[in-house]
Amino acid sequence: MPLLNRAKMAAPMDRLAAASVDWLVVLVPIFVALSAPFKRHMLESMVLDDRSEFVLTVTALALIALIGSWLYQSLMTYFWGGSAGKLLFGLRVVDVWTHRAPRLGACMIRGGGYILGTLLFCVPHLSIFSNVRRRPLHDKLADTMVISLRRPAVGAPHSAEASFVRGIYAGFLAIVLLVMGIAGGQITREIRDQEQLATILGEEDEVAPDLCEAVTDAMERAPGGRINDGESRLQTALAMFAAGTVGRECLRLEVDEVLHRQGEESALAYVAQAFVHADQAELSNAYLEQACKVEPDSESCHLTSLISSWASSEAEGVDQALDAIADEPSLFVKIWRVRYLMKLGRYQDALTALNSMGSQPAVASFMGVLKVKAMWGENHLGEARLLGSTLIDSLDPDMQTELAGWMCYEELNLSCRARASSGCQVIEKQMAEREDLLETPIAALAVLQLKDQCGKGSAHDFNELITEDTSSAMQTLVEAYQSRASGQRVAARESLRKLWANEKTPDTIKDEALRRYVSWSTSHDELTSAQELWKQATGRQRLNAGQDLIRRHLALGDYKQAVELLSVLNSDGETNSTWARELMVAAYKSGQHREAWAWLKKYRDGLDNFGGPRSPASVDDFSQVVMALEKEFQRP
Amino acid sequence: MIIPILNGLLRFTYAPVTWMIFLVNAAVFFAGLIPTLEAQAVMDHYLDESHFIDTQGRLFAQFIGTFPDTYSELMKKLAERARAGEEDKVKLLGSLAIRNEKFLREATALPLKGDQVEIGRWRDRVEIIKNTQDRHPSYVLGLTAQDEGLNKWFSYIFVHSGAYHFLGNMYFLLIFGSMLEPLIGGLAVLVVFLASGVIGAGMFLLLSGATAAPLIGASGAVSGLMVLFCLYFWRAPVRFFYMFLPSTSYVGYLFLPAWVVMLMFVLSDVAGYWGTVNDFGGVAYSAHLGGEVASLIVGATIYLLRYRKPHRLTPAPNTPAVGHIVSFADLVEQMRSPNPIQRRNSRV
Repeated sequence: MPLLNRAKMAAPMDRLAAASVDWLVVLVPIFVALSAPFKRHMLESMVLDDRSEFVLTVTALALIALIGSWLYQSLMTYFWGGSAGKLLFGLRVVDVWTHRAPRLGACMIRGGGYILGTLLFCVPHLSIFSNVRRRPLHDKLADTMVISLRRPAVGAPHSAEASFVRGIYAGFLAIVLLVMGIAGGQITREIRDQEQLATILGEEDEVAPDLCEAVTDAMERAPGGRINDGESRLQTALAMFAAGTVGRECLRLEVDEVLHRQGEESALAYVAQAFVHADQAELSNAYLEQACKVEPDSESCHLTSLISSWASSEAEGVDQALDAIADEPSLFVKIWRVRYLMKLGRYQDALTALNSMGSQPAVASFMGVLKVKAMWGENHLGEARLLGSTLIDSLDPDMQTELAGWMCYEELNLSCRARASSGCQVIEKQMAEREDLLETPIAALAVLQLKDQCGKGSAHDFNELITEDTSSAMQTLVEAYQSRASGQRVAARESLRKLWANEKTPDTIKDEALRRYVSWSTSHDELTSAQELWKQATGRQRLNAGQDLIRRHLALGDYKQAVELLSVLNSDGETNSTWARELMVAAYKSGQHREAWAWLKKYRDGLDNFGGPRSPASVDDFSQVVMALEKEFQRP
Repeated sequence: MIIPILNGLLRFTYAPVTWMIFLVNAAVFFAGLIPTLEAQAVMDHYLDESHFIDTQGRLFAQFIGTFPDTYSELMKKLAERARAGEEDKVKLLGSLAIRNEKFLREATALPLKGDQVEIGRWRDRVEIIKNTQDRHPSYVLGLTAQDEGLNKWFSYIFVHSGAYHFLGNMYFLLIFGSMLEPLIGGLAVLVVFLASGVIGAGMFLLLSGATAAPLIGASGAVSGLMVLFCLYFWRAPVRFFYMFLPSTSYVGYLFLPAWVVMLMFVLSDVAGYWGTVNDFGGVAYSAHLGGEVASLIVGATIYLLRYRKPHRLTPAPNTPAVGHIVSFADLVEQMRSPNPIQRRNSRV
């Protein structure tokens, strides 16, 4: 110990500089040179995902580095008293007892300790800043110390310096434990997953190509087991895409399989590519052209004119294209046809088409949802409610949100008391459970309506619905609601009008904007301007907003306008018996008995419950009006 | 950090040819800067497009399958995996395909299987890229597989891909060239520079093979100058500047014998070449090795012509010994020393 006290302890910064020289100037270049033959192997095995070869090469490299560093440190110390870096900075390794050059054994142990410390992220080496004699792990193991031949000796580290380094040790230990814990958990999970996978796949370890899982599931569910070739998979994928149950990515995977992996050109594959690239009009059209080039008379080729007409909203073109397609079209064509009919508000035709499609497991839930909507459109509300309530629990979460949102929204449009309906209950439940609920536009509209409570909602609630993912159209709509709640009715109506006029606004929101523009009209002038806007609407939008318009006219007691409007809708073939009932009741109550009688006679055959009340308990407004009218006008 | 600085730069009057070579390189670099940026932007636009790269990768995989004898085992395995549908391999092949001259030349005319719309668009884009390359300085002056004639064997030396590439090569050119020129003359420097560049190109074509991506840069030629310098000053200490820690005690000069410096250069190039997968491109170590071989030939020729025995440069009396280290702190200490002899001797 007295010798140790007399020794000129090397400055820690000198040792750090020496280590920099050893690593950067000597060892790294040598390793780079020695590892060159392995590097190519390593790169090749990495590129080819050859894990065993990669691990072997990396292990070989690590061994070379470890053994090389160990020999370098040990032998340099034994023969010259220190590594090249130490020699450059006038440092020497000496035995702690004799103060002379250490023996070979001690040098080898010191070299081993040095490597061990380096492998532990050099943390043990930090003892040169904390140990009272500035001896890190390797010096303690070999009973050595480092002295300086050039500079004066440095003293023991300051207590603050030592405490700081001990803090680093503690932090390092905590990180190591944390990493080990996480790694342990991950390894356990991986092993479990692999075991599960092995159970599912048996002993097969064949690499499956990237295909759409949803299509695979649908193919497995198909009755009698469909032939699982590329073309039939593509047919299923196209049907599911048409139904909106899979996205473009799924379709892309299936097309890739047919076009790229199997290298089979087909018109169907090109049509699918046109859908995949629907956001790039030029490319999409090029695929449609290619489809007709490959198979000029095929169904897929005829479909191209259908898609073109659809994209440019040419109803006649769509009709002609649908007629040109074979008598027994593919499932996905049938689905597009139903969607087209729904878009036009031709609910009866849509229902007929849906019923003729038979059982289709791949798109069963979609067909169910469409049936509910078509029945509702046809004012078979009871049946629609029943089917919807039955269906809703069996759907997958996205489809469930879609249907529940739609049902709730439509119910709320009929009555503010519809919060208790099955659709609204599901939506209210999902509001608490699903963070992404508002990403489904129709569900977002239902939530808006629920919050609005027919104009009685809180004035400050709506902005909460806006998130980073909210689309600009939805944002404008929410702002309109907010403006209205804050009493800025003009601003609210203006926002709605702009939303309606914007071509980029999605149909669902456009529909809602028009409906709110109508339902938020509180004066005859406002209603007249709403009617002007309504005249530009077509298809389903025209029907929905038209019904709202009639309702508003009736609410304002403008019976004449309501009748005129109904006549217009009637000439479009867009009215139904429910409206005739409401209109008659309103007409009678406003004293227009003769007009009410005329409507009753005209719609007599189509009216439900026209046979009169079956019991006193079932007497409603309509029945009372019918009885009163009959009493008044059927007098002998 | 440790870099050779020798005795710094010699003025234009001492090393005019070295400076002229530098100026020509600089002129080409700055004149080509705007066209390079413009052309590169157009090319990157397509090469960064994943759709284009995917199509190219699939077609390249198909092409390799059609001409298996032309490609390495690695490329054949990659192509096989890409054809089996591995997307990362498709993308990798798509990126590598742009280097393959045979593919770019023949594939655009071959009837390839697959999505004909994509293939048509890919062909259009390849044509655009080729047209862009016709005005890209690296392709106009660089050495590619499609070049015929010897002019590109010289012109490629004067083109650089970017500022770092240019500055790195020029630093070594000026440091070593300007030290060498007073000894062997400007003409010899020019001959060694050009000969190293040409032999570097030859070695590159021989060992790595020409590609559609151009060989550019003066590194092969500069390597020749560096090795010749080391041959000349075989045992003399070469000064390096080091900075291990940001403190004057750890910043200074280190002196290593020239033969060690040469060994380091040559070994690093051999290691680099050995560790490079030719199909992937990267630094043209084989061109460096070519330059070094050229300077060995030139060195041997000069030795045979001018010297009967190996040239040994005797260190000047004040030259520090090999392995000597002088930190800036030491220098400052010595400069403050009252002893004028000690102060003079400390100059290095």
